[in-house]
Amino acid sequence: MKLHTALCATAIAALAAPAFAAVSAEEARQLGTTLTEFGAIKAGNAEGTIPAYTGGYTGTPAGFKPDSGFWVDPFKDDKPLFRIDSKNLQQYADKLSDGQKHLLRTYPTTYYMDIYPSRRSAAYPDKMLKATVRNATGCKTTQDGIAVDKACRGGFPFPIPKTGLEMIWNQVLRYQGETAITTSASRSWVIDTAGKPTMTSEQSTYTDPVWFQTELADRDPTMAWRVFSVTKSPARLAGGATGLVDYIDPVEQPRKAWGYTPGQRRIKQSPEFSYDTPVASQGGLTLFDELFLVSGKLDRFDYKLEGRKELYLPYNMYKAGFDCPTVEMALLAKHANPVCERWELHRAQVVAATLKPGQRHAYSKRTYYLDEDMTGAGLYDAYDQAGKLYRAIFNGVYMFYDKKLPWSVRNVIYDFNKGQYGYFNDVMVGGFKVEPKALSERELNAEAIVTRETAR
Amino acid sequence: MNKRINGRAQAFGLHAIAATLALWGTASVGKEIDVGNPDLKVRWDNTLRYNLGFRMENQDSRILASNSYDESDAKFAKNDVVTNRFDLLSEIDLNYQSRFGARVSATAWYDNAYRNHTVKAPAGGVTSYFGNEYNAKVKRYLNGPSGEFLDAFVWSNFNVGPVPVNVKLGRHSIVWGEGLFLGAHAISYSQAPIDGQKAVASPNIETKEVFLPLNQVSFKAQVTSDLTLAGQYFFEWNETRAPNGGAYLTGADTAPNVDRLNIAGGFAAANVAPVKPRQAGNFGLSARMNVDVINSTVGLYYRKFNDYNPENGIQFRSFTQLVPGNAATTVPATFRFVYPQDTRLIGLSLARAIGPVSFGSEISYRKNAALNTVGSYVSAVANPDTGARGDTLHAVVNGIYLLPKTSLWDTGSLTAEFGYSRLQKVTTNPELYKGVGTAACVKTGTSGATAQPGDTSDACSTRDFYQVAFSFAPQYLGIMPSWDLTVPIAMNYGIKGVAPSGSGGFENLLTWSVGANLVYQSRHEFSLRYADLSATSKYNAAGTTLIGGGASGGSLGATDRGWLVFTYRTAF
Repeated sequence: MKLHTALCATAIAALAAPAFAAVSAEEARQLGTTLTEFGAIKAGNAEGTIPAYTGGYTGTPAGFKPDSGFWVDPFKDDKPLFRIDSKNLQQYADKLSDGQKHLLRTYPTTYYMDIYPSRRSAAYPDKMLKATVRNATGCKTTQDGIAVDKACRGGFPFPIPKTGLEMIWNQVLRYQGETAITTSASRSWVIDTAGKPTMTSEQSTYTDPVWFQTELADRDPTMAWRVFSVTKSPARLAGGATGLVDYIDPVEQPRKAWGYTPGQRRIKQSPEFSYDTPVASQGGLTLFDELFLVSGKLDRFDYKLEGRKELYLPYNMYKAGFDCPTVEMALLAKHANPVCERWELHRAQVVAATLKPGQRHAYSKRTYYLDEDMTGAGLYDAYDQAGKLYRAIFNGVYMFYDKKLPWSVRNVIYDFNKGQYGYFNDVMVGGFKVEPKALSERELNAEAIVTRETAR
Repeated sequence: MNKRINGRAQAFGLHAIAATLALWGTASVGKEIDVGNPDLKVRWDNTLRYNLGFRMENQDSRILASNSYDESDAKFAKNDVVTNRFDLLSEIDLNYQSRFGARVSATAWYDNAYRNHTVKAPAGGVTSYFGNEYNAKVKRYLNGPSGEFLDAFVWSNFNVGPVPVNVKLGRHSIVWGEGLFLGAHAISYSQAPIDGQKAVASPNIETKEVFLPLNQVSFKAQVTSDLTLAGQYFFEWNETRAPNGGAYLTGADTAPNVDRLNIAGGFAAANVAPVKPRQAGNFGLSARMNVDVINSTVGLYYRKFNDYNPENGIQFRSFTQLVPGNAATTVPATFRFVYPQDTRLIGLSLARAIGPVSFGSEISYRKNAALNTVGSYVSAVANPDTGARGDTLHAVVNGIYLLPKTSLWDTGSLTAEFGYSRLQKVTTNPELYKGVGTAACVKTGTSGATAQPGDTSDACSTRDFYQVAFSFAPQYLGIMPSWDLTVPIAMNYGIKGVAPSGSGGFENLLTWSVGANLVYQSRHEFSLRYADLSATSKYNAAGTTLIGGGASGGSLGATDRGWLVFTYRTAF
């Protein structure tokens, strides 16, 4: 019966399949052989500068205290292989994003990139990998590619992506564990054109990865993920709360957002936070559709998959994430402190997005360089309507190695138009917690959240 | 020469401000206090607000000439400082394991513009205060220095089976429904008393400071993932703080806190104890449900309350003869305000997002609600402790739209609300109901045997009433390093009719404000705002004295109070 339904679903999906070549059974067999289960090339590169994937890092480094909120750097003894700066950047130009090049050229005396040995440290639980392999031949997008089928829950939807949108969905539905990830003090910083940092918000956050919570019976399977946060600072906004829910079919069920302000003392459904509306709590530096590199409805751009490219990604950034005091060290006047950053050569899937004719947006073009090991790490360049580089995001990753969970939310965004930058999801105080158990659907109702989390 | 010195002084002033801000710089603010126990979180926040306001309009001689409206107008002349006020709000939150907690907030204030307590009545007659000076209550609220506790409650979160429950006990306030601007027609009408004095005098004030918390027990239970039940029962009743007579932004001279009412020939009637309900007994229940098939949150509400807002008419209680033995010289000797009791409200709300707009809507039915009652009257024989009462229908619809980035602004919001209310029936003291076509609705300036029927321009209620309010606030982020600018424009307008409820809104009454709000480093807020109002006013035959018109006295007497106010606010 179950098999029958599955077959039927496949048949229907095949009929509705877009013109792109679907993944053949033969191609899918590469998963676990020449490709990893999550679709990355298992082998290293010819030069030996990218190693083969051998299952990721699953050890326990000395000094690591489980559930302390912080993860000790297992690669702290690594020495940089070399440094890229304004003088030698031409030599590496083919492995740098436009954003990286722009920073190196613009701040020749202060900006550089130390390149470390590449460590393909991402590891995932077997259950998730099984679901991913299952998805290789069975998972389809719907609604012209901007929605994805709930039958693919529990794994990466497209381990062998054939379209730009499929790769974007891999990024949106990156693995975030099966329970919940919380912070007690996730901070956002905006560094103004004069180099002065402002903490625009400090929030406690709760991330609920519904796509992967296949064993929670009370979950709505059409949800992609959701997050809520309670503001702790600035004090004038303290006690406020917001929530955001994204669905896997944003045509059928658009993003839902709610907000509570102590000023109003009520929960209101928030207007659609979407597209190129700037996120005011991040000083307007980030647009809603570039949160976590990409978020929200994908209907305004055409996404083209351009294949793999070797690039220097912000990788294994334990130092930047957990060992670089924010104000005292991390935030230089014009960019994040290169001393804290770690760059490694990795293969990235390149997706070029072009604004569809007749659509309106602050950008004409954006390029995503997404880690082929699917950690969510990546680079992003966005271009204004004149085609000029406008913003760049460097989204770094570190592994919660004891949980087999790569975590990639800490990012730096540069606004080259205004000459300022933002430093987001900084958890130098408090760290992250992978919750042993997710909250119940009752406890995640907006009314219940607000009543429980704030007395203001 | 003088100008140069001034310029330098100003430059120095700006410099000093900049230096102070630089000092505050990135210091940690708004904090959780480490008490050495990870299970116990303690938070202490303080909000400091400073207002400096100026009168920008000339005193209207017709208002100064009117006995009922002259005192507030006479307080300050054009260009005078009308507020020079500090407000401090201090909030402490305790949270033990998210299971138990407590919250206490308190506020303190001082307004130097009111250091002079004198009240003048240029139109003649006596002022509203004994000795022509604010009484102690009014002094306290207008001038200070003074303070008070606001919130003071304990709370607990626990589970009943799988159902999360929250209970709060003590002084707190709760707001239900979806209404935003038109509180007189919302489900949350009179759900808490309001500090009206502070609200009118402090632009950008937050609701949490405007609501006056009362002792109550309240609960909220998450019965299913989509159904929330809530309720509240009050142990305490307290009146709304109406703006005080003789204060800048008050139109009418007579308000609940005054000592007396000017009658004639130097004689005044005394303000005696109002009709107030008992302390306990107000309660409400609500159920809110997420209904996925219509993508909406639907709410159902029932409330029973003794109103915190007084009726709009005052009651004369006793009479005296100015010339003893001469019945023709009989005048009121005492009067009182009346707080209407035992109103019941049933309401339905619906909220959903439609495209880029978040819609909220409400409909509510009030039984035994206070109606527009004649300005002053003699207690009715049958129902002496109330003015006109009846059943009214109220609806509000609102939408919030987040402005997308355009060449004109970075972001911002547009919020609009439309209100409607309708008289269902008059149930008590119909002879006191001031509705178009009733005997109580008299054309302004006529009376007695020659009285002519009035209309909406005389503030007589109609069966239907329509009102609109909006706020448009485009935002400009990073206009200078670390500075964000918002330019809020707000308006509230009575489109058609006069609300059947007392002081529920008036045709052609327009209140508006335009401002600019600068925020530095998300912490220091500087704003400048100009606000004014207009209303249909009626004058005596000579055109020299305001005698009434199509709005409440609070508005009619305040049409010449255009004012500019600078506000600085920060929290630490």
